Amino acid sequence: MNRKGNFLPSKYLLIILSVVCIMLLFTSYATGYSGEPFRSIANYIFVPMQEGLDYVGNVISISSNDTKTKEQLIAENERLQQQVDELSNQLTQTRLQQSELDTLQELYSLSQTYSDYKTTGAHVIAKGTSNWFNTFTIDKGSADGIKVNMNVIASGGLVGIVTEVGKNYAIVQSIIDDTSNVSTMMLSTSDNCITSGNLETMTDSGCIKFSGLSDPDGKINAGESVVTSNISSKYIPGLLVGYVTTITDDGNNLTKSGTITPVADFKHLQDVLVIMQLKETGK
Amino acid sequence: MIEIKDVIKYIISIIVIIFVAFLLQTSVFPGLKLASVTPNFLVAITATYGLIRGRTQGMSVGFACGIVLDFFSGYYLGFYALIFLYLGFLSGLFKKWFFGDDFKLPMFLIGIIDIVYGTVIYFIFFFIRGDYSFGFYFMNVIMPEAVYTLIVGIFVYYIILKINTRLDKSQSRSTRRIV
Repeated sequence: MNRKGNFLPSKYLLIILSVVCIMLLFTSYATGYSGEPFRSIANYIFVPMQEGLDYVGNVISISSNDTKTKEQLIAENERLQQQVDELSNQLTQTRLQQSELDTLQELYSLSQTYSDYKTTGAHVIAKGTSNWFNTFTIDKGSADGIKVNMNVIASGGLVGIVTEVGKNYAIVQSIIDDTSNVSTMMLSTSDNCITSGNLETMTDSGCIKFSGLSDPDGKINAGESVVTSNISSKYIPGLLVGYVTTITDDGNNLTKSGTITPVADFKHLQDVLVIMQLKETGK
Repeated sequence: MIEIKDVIKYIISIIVIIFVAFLLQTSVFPGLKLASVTPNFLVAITATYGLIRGRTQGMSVGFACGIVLDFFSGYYLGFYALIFLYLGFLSGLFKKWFFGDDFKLPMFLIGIIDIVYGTVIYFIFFFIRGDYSFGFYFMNVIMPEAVYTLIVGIFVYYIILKINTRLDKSQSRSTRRIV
């Protein structure tokens, strides 16, 4: 029965494989090598299958969405029509402000705004392999120009950052991941703080944490928008992260911390936008 | 006398099982979440092989599962391989209590191995960073995952057992032919 055991007792195999693992850990830690040839194998075997399964899953979920009644559709249509009116009203106002802004920016020669970052859409084809971390795989990779540290957004908010790129897939670490830290600032006061993902608060109340906010005048209240800061080394400035939900004084009476509700819907993430521009840090 | 053809058949069966399990775990079951967790198929496979085949093969299968995870998790290469290697070894220790058609031991073992796995991950990634609320993680991640894994583990165990009995039968037939 014990085929391999005939020529190699299990304790030796255990020792040999442990040593192999530890050596792999050290080499990948020291050199940053991540097994490129093997990854490309994975690339050709797993990713096409994952894309196919994801497609099937989407078809099923769409057909379950088809079952809305006529009344629901009419009500929804009315609501959306109202929204269209409101939004077109807002749009005219914004256009006016935009032209004003353009002229002022020309005066200050600040031509770059974050709205003109080039983006590319991608499908989420697989979730991370464990319940502890929030990573996911998208169906675009280095062949489409994706690079490590590109920012990923969805439904108007920051979702995460690309941590690993294959030929036609990329792995994204989301901002709600417990090991994620983003340098952010409050939109109205431009005070910096650190937003870190937290598995515990995310499971409890769908929030992530922020800390180290210096706000001596107490200007920040719940509902304040939190955006990525201009001093972040990886994130492009001005991307909306979420809204402040709770805020409390730290024990040192100097800084404040609290929770943020992220804008992006992490439970139903299907399509994301990758910003095709890396943050320039002058390094 | 073992034919090389049988060994290759055996290895191919393991590769196919890991492949299918990985796809289920990453692309199918995230849509079938219960209590916001997905079952851990790779742990179930490692535990099953350890139980029905012993330490050596539990370790080999665990190592293979871990390497696949390493390629897709983005952490350091060899990390999950090391954990799964020891999980395979641990479940291999239970082989002496294993009798073919008893379902209680495999279920129990898959649950226990998944709890061990969850606890190890907690200590490595959360405890070290100063996050001490083990009770919370135990009730919200480790336990639900273990229960869900245990349930799908019954099917995983049954399928792997069937495949292995089949392979063993075809092997003994061909060996008889030679003798």
